[in-house]
Amino acid sequence: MKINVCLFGPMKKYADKDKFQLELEEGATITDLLDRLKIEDRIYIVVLINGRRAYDEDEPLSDGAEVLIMAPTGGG
Amino acid sequence: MTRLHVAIPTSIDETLGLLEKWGHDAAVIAGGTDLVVELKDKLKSPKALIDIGRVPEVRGIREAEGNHVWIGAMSTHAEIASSTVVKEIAPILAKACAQVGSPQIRNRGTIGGNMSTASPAGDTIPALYVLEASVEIIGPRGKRTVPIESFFQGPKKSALAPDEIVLGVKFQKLGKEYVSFFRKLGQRKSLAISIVSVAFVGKCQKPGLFTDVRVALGSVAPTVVRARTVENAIREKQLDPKTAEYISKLAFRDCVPITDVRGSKGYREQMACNLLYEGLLSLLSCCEAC
Amino acid sequence: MTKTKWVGMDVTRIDAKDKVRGALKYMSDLSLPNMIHGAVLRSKHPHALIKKIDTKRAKELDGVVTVLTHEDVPGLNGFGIAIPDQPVLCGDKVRYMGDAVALVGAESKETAERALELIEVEYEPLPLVSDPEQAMLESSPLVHETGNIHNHVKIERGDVEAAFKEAHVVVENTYSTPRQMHAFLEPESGVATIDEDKNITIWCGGQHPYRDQLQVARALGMNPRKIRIVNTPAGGAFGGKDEITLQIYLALLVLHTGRPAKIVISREESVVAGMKRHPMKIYMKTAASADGTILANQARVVSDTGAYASLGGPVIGFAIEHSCGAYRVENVDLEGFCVYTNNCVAGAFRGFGANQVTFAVETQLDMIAEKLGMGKLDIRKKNALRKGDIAALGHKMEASVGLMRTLEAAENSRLWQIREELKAKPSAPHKKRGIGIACAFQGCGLGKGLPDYGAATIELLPNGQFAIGISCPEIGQGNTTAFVQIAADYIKCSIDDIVMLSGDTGHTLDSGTSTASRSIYTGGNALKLAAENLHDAISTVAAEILSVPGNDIDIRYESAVSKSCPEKTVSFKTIAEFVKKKGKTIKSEGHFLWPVSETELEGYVGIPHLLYSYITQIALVEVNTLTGETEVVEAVSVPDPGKAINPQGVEGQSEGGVVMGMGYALTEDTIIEEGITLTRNFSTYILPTSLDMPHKIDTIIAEELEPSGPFGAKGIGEAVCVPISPAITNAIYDAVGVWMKQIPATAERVYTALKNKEVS
Repeated sequence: MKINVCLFGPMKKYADKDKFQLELEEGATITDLLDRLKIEDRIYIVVLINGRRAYDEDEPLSDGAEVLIMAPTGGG
Repeated sequence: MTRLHVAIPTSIDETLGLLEKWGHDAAVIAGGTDLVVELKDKLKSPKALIDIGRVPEVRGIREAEGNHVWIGAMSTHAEIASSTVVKEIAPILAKACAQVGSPQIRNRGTIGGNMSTASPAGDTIPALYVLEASVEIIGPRGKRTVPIESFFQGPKKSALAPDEIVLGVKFQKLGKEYVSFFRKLGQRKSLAISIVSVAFVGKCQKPGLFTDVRVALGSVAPTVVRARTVENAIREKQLDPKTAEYISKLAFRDCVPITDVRGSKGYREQMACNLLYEGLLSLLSCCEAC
Repeated sequence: MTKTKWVGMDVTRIDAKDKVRGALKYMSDLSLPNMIHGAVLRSKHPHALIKKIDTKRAKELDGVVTVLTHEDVPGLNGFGIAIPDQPVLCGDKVRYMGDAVALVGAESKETAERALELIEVEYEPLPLVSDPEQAMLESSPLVHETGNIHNHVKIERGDVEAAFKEAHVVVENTYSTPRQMHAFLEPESGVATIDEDKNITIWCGGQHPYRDQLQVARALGMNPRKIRIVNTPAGGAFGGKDEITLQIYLALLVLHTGRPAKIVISREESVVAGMKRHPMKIYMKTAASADGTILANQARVVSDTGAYASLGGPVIGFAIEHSCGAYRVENVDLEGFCVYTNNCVAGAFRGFGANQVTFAVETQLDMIAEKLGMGKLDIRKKNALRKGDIAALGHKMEASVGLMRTLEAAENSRLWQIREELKAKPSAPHKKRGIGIACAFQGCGLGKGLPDYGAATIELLPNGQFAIGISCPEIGQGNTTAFVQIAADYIKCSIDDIVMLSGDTGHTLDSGTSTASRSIYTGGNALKLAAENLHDAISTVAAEILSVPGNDIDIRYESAVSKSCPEKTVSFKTIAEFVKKKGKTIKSEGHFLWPVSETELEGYVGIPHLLYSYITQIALVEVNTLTGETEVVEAVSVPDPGKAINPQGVEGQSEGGVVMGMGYALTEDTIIEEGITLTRNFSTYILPTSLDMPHKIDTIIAEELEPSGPFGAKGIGEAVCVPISPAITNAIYDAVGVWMKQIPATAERVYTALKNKEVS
């Protein structure tokens, strides 16, 4: 399945591009995606799937999912 | 937990006995508005608090012999500010008391406490200076009376010995021909420690002409001070706004202020002059009106 | 716009009764059985190496349960929203007086404090840097090895030099602003517990429970899901509890002792260790044509973030974004530096960098108007941003822009209309009156490049009521009351039938922060989506009850109705009972992601914004020329919050904002000299009291509805405290003819300026 990935802030360092598409096996989870991207920060991280925050890294992804990976942030 | 002994005597004799018993480990508490802060900041660590709130001899405001008014040390700022006696015969003290801290502090804080703390910024003190009050002190050696100016010896230093307390303060009634003002400059309108304060009492002969002039300045020296230079300049001189301005400019001669977070030395000197001028202006315009 | 039953009404705050009766429990009111009391050992030096920490004597003290140091932090020994540069417990170096070196847990608070005195720390003092401009010099001591400049922002558009040449008038000044303190009602405090499975719950004032959860988890090296954070009610925050305060210390205490723990810090400790507003030095050069059109603006802003970054990086970006005010400016050269020093840490604070630059630019504008002989209101109207305009950073104003509406309402206000009459009547001849006006805009949400998400949940309870959950904590601003109103209108029920859950990772989904004027817009939009999902679920059940097809159901007030057969109705209450009988529940979620500006500024995140709230404020002041004292006699505040969900709530925000901005303009400053805080409590840090408030504050709400907002709402929590400060200093000029370029404009500063003017 195809996953659309978008990296923000400090997560940008894990890929050449901020926005790209990835081919993952059916049933792949958030953990699989983070492993694939070699993302080391597994605690201070927020993953949004189709605009919804995912709390469980075992959550399976579905084809065409828009996945935003970021560190928590703040601002005004 | 550190234990603190609290004694609540019901007479002066009992109070003095407790002071003798605890010696340097005792602290006398009246309203507690200064002491509790000092305890919290660990500036003082007494073993016993002697709460004089139920001692009858330090309570009350009354007319005394020799045309005097006596105010007990335990009288709160709120009580003094609303006392009909004080408002009538020494409105300047009522006004000064009304400008202490906030309603909560005025309900707890006492005139005896304000004097005992001996801060040059104490709000009631300039008023007591111009009323030429005397302080009644009691201790194991008996009762003694000290003129207000001798009572204060420096910042947080008074004539009070560790085994003595202030009983009360008294002053002579001022006649109807006396006018007065109290002006305090703070960083805000309440809960403010004064940057400079000015108290003025004068016997008004006719509009703008004062005999028996008394001026006191707060927060401009190690203790509240009488502004003798200014007093001499005002006495028996016909004032108009111009001369008032000129004379007020002499007030800096009576100050030796310091710089701190509230204000610089220079500003304090200027404010001593300007607050005096502002007050004189209000007296002049008031005199014109009557 | 949709007709509303609750939105737009002055609904009583849902927490009013409990607050008035003293029943509401703040975090410092909470107590747990067998609880230990914690205390934090702060640094003795503003900048020093730690050579040795000896806790032996402290540990031996009777009643001490634990003494923890950097060695006892199991995960990352650092915290910080943007970068974790602040040690939880310092091991090798301290960088300001608030730095934490050790943590004590004891049977009583007094014992914990005594134990602090027994901890022996050997320091080697280092040269310190207290001035941010000096900190930028090569020769300065380094606060962090990475260098003293934490963040640098530079935005250029057009050609400022050419504009300065052709301009009719150019004004150039340097401004400085104070280290304002949030001064929230409840100093940082909280309690925590741990269960047998090492699940930790922390009740502690905060502004983003889900981010606190991750910061605690990072420091503990734990799975975040084992940590529950409760932030509501926050005891006031104003941005000062956006960053981690005591949460990690509470977690460490319960983790190491297995007992519940409580920490309540004193106001004095809060002043020294807690967050502040960034003091900024702002150089600004502004050019205008003869008709008052602003041609160019050049700014160089140096911001003192203190010993650690927190949100100092985003704050300087936000300051630069707002440094040209709410005006069209085609030529800009804007540069900002966020600099480390050995001062108190600065971070988020209501306004987020806008306050400082707005003070500068609104003064510049008045100076230009003065030189051109132009009206102060006219010059603002002339340059005001309108919808579709290009703002200073080159981004298009795509969302609702209510600035002109606020200016027009301000112009029609009683105070503005009779200003000359009021100015002519000072209370004494030596007192002078003046009027000042200023405008501002305030970016809402986190801005471009920082995905700003939120969620809401709605559950139909067995009794027919609805529980709504939004994690943005109630920090006193009234968002929970607004959420209840919004939810009632979307769900179509009474506000009395809404149960609000807020600020709790255990009972709500992640809705993001209560900051950035964002919680109403985020929570409201998420509620809208959740209500749509709820209605779908209700419709299905109602169709079953009424024996009609699912698509035949219409949701009316408190009931579901058959479209084809309107006499067939079923109430929410009956539906709830039906669902309960079946052993089921109806729960819905709404997930919302903020829209962002199309403009991307290469290399920057958090700027620009798409949505802004707008505001115009007016102040009438009276200046005592003999003392320099300034009294704000009256104020008018005209905010554009989009739709005012609760107008009384907006008025409350507006009045509070005016007074906070007045304190900033006239009296408030945390004075630090050589790293040492001189204004350590409220006797020297001068907050306005009720007697210092203007005699009258009129709030005129100028709604410019935002189509993307819930019922047209944007946000208003911050803008309300921004332009009032320059409105006051501009009024001082109008009264006595001196420009106050340094705030707070204390009596002494105003008096000194008056004397200097006399001399020159």
